[in-house]
Amino acid sequence: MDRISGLPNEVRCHILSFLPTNLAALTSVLSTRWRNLLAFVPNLNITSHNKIVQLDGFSYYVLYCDICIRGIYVGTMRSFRGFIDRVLALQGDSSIKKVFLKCINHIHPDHLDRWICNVLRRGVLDLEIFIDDADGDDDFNYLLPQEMFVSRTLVKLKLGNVEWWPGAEGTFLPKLKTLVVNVWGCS
Amino acid sequence: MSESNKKISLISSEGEAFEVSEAVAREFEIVAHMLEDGCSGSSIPITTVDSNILGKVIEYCTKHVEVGNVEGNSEKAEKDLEEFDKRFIAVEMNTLFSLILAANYLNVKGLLNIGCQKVADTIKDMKPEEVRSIFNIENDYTPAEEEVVRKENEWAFQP
Repeated sequence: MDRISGLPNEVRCHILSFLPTNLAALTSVLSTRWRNLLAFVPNLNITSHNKIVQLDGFSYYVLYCDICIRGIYVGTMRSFRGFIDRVLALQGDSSIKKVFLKCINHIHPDHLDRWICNVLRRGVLDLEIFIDDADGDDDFNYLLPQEMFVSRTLVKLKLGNVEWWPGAEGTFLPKLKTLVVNVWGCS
Repeated sequence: MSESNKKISLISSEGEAFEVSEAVAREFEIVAHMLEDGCSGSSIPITTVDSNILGKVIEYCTKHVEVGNVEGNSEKAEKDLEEFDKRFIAVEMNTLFSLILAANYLNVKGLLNIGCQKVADTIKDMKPEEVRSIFNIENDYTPAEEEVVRKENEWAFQP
């Protein structure tokens, strides 16, 4: 057995916790001992648009894609959603500490709600969500799910380009110490 | 907290004794727990860690205890400590894995963190094939199985 694969599972998970989740996921292909290790990593760090699409020798950030690469783009977003769904399914009910999610506003709010509720249910302590406005469309206002405002575990919450839930009067976040909202230019 | 000048001997797997202050020994959480549990002996066997690695772990803990004891000037001290950590962990792979295993066993969290961070930084920009190659990982997937795993993580594998 090679030395890195021979490290105890919790140590290999600790190593993976220092990587963005997509890079941590790449290790699953190393050998069967690495297959589902991601299930036990207590954090998520996912950015949707750090992928560069290669097309005719030019590089585009997916964020700035135009209509001619729409097909590739839609496929990328679908596979991005599939990736998050799979990682969350793999992690099941295991507790989670830190979640960083940055994505563009082409993700349907139902998916965002589902992901956020998932990590809240699992007792996330530190949650950062950034929704980038991909096309400068001011109509997009993502409303956070009601569950967001009732968490006994959240200590740190950082939100960018998302709207406060308009009916958040019943807010109950007893452990919250740090709150940052709309950290970059917004109304 | 009363300052203790008590010395404790940590005995490596080869039987070599390393005499350290109690404060340094307590950086090993496993030792701190033994002391709290009333283990009053002044020599503690660390049977799974050899002299070379034990010496290094003690060097790490000693530095961190020293810096922790200095009052004021905290920003500079923190920077120095960061520099120390960076130099300390710049070791060849085998030593790095031995340090990580020792830190995990002895429960020295700071050392475990910088060790794991170092491995993560090493593999961060590599393709899986390169990671396999530098760590001598044997790929025991069949091509069909490997294809399934790649498909499952399709988004992560996109360039």
